[in-house]
Amino acid sequence: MKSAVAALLMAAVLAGCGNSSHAADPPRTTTTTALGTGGTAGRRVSANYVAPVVTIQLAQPLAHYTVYVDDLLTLLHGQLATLHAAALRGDLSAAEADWSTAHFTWLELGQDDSAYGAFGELGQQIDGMAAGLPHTVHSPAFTGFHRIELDLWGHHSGTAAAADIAHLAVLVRRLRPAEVQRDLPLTALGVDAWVLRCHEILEDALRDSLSQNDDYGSNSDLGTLAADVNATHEMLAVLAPLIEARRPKIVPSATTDLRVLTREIEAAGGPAAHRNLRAMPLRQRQALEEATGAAVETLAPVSEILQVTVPGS
Amino acid sequence: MSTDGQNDKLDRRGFLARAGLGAVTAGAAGAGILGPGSTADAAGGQRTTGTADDALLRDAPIVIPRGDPTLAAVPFHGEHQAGITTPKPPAGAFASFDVTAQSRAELIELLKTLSQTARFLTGGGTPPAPTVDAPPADNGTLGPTVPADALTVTVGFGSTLFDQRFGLADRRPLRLKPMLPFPNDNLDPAQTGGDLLIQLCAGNPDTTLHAMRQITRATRGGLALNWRLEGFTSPPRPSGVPRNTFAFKDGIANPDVGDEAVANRLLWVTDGTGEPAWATGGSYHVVRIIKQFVEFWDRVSLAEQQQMIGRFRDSGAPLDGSAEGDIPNYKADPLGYVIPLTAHIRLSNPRTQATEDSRIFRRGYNYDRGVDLNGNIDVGLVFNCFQQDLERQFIANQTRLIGEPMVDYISPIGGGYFFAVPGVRDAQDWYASRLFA
Repeated sequence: MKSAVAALLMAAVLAGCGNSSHAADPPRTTTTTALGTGGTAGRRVSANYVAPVVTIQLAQPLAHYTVYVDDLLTLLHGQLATLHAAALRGDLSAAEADWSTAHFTWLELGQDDSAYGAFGELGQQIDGMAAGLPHTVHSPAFTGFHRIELDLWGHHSGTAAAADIAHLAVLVRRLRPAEVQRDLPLTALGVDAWVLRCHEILEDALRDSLSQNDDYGSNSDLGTLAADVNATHEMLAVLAPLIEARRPKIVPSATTDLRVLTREIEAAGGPAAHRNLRAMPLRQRQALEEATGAAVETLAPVSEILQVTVPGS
Repeated sequence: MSTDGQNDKLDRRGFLARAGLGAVTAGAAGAGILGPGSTADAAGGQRTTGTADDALLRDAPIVIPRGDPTLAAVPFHGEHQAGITTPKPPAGAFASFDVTAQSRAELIELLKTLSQTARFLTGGGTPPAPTVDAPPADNGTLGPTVPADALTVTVGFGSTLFDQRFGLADRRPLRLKPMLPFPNDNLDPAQTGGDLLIQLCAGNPDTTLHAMRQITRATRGGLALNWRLEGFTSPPRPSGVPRNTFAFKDGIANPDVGDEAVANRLLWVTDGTGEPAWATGGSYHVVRIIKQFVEFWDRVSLAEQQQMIGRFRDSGAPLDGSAEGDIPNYKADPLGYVIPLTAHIRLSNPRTQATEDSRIFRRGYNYDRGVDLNGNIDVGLVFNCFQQDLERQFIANQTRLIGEPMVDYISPIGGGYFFAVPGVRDAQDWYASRLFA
């Protein structure tokens, strides 16, 4: 299955190169005749030249990433089964530990709170927050990891959790293989969105996790942050050759930033510590914020550097 | 961190004073930037102090170059409330209250008091002189005479006012209801809703704050604050419509409500709209506190920012145009090659015959209020709009915007739906008097 998905993707990426005028895929670089003149002309100067990236160059990184995603999903299936068993027998402390393990695995996909919508509505059902729903946590549309988190830590109900875990397992199973393919897009615009994750996974951590907006009782945001660091490491690893060929300093300095962040997570108790960030001493929280902030500042140019050029546009 | 000009100046003055070089040099250096009126006072104070004791650091009154502190009064009485179509001055303040008045009669008294207070504040004038038997009637923060400073006081009712407490259930404006979250919202109950909303706009923030204090004082016992927020409008940078905190010009595409026919079609509740008779002349008022993640935004490329908005950042022109007032030609770009189909301006106002009736009249303010829990700067937009029909206009607009690419960079966290009541007609009238007739 794993290699089949990768091969399929590779083939589709190759095919995509010759089909750049796909209707659903407007080029990022619009032609000068169509574009209005209201912008500031001549912004790019030769000193800032960046070698263009074409879709085919992302085929190998995407293939590696597909394998990574596939491995994590396999792992996640087993972890959800374990979680379900713990909830069924009413062992809440085991279920809480199993929930954290499974959630961190999910987060390592780079899909924290399904913020970037790569898995679409399904991603929202798996890890969405309740805030935007008409009756928030009471809404039947509130499903997935965070609902189970509320079952366990908020309502102390193994029975409710077991039913919601079973539902989550069904949702996660629907992700493969069709949704995985959707997640790893084949169009130039889609590839650009994928490359954005280099900094957006941690942007999301900064916005939702360091504010603890995504917490439904587990106080597991240190672990969330650590999983987001891992997901970012993976993105950097698969894209490193392309980035280094253009801006050699980014990968080493981002790697340093991520190490600093990991050190600060450890200093705050480590990924397994259930800490309420709202109650954390300011100095400690500031250290996490600044380390995360520094990493995203370093990573922000990646999506620009690797912006895909569509041939002929 | 570099030292700003003011500190630099203070250091240098301190040094000069200690060295005994005296006031003349420093005073002359300072005079160039002192505004008219403050020069004499400041210089006089300095001379006196300098002569009296050279060992003491001299006072250097703070110097603030700014615009006119006393804009002309905006008429309070009229068919419609001021603060909607009247020019939008730079300072805006919003406060939501719950009514704690215990009866219908008390509510009526409260609204009469509110009307009298607003009438005085918006007109300006000299408050009664302080007497020995009570604290002063005016808080004094605008000086002994209260300038009008273009203050407007715009009052709106939330749907909760029309519950059983005051016998108003059968008079609720037809479309008024609590604000339910849209899918990308993160509404904080402590900053959402309320029985009564007051919007204060004026030339300066001290004017709105003065008014807020006078109003809350006058209505003490009857109105309890829920949440409040102060906003500002930037000056043109460098020209045209002011920019929001994302640096984009915001409010370019407002309908022309100066045209009475347009206003009667889009802005005011009129006799033909099926609303209760008392509501004619009012308008649905939507306030949304929208946090803007400016740190995140600043890490996004200009090209992507412009694709999300659909305009050039620098000029404000739509991506197919050259000036901020240009009307985007979506018909020429049906696939969104120039202005993406998901661009904010395109979703919000598709400029079709079918969507013309859903246009809203925006009157937003930027806000800036400290630090978020995650160390980010807490800034954003007090999204503020008026319309004839809540469902047909704001809700339809916002529904089109669900899931737009910009949602990652913003978070609506509060606000509410209100009904801005009809205008206070004359010196005997009071807010929403016809509601109780």
